[in-house]
Amino acid sequence: MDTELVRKAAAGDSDAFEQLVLSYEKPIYNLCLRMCGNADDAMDLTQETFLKAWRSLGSFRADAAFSTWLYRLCSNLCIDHLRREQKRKILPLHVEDSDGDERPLDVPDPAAGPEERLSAQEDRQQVAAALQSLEPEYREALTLRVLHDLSYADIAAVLQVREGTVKSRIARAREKMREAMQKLGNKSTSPSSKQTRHERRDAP
Amino acid sequence: MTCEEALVLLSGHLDGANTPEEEARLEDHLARCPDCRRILDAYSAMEQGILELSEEPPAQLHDRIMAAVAAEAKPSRRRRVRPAVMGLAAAAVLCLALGLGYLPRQTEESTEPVARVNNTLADALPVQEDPSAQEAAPAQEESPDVATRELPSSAAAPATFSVEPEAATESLLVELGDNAASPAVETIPQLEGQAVEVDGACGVYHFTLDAATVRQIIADYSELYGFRTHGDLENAADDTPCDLVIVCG
Repeated sequence: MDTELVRKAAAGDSDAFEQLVLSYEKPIYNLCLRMCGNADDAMDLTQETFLKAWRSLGSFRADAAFSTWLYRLCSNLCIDHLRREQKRKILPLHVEDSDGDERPLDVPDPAAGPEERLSAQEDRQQVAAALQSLEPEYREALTLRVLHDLSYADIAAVLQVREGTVKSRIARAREKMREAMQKLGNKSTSPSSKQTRHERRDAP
Repeated sequence: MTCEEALVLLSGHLDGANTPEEEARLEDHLARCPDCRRILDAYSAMEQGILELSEEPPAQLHDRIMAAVAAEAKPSRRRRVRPAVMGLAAAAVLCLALGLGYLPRQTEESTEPVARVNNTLADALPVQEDPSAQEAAPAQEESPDVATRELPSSAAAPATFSVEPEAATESLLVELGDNAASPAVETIPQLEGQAVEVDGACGVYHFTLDAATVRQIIADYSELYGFRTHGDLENAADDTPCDLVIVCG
């Protein structure tokens, strides 16, 4: 149980802390990976998250869930990292030809044979690229919801926003991601030629 | 129901967050709208795609984390305590708790403290990183709980310090307001190790920095925090002393 491990770790028991690391290193690493987009930075940020947790366990209040607290540490570090980098990694939706001309990514032909369809690996890259193209706050909310299976209430606690904000942010994130997938040439995300009816207006 | 409304409910549907009434309305809409049915399929496929992005951490990560932990003493012991800033973190909690009840009053009364600090900053600021102070404040640990980026709406009203510095000729005053507070102090690297004065019961931090540094902070953080400047920061010489006032709220 986290509570007992947290109590021991706060008292300086590094074995107890290691148990917490074992429980959370995968989700924390995956959050970092989705937020910063590359494995090296994700490793650094994961390490930083746990080191910060170790240093500040004394201030952890037992009335909050340890996981929420940890995600929040991680989230703050990721956002700070992105800000420091000052480069939002919006992946290009176009690739350059060898002669430098831009052309859209190939649109898969649904009638093509299996060998011509996108491989599973390419599919995965496409999903990752579409997710990465979202603004960090959308990417973070959607990642915490889908990949980490956090409830709206937990996400609200992590991000320090209202639950209603989480709900609308995730809905918007899904639609932005679907649009990004379409731009990347994924036909399965396109409703029809009348898709403009679904374009979202900015909130008032 | 419009398709735009349906998009929110489609998302809520996937998250199991809709009320039975919302589900019924969505079902009704989907029965009549093939486009939204396709979007639901697309969302479902995306959901699966995101789940498949889950990766095992690199094998060496665990050892790296534990080696870093081992290099530290017990939790919190080796942390570089910045006593004044830690006091501010506590102050920020107070301010959040009091919310709007505090801020307007602070706004009305702000003239004096800001002007005072402006005049006395050079000799009034305590020096940080004082080892004896570190020992003296063991309970003032960093509180990540305070490191919020977005404050609850009740406390999110911009704290408007419309104070003109009394001696504006040599000193520039930059206010960093809105959702600033302790996260700004904790995360802006230029502020690390800087002397700080805490003013009043809550949420006002005074730093003195050179104009070049303040310009850099504004360039780095203007997307996140609202800055207001008094004086000609733009054209000030790089080493012009500049007061940076961070207002919680």
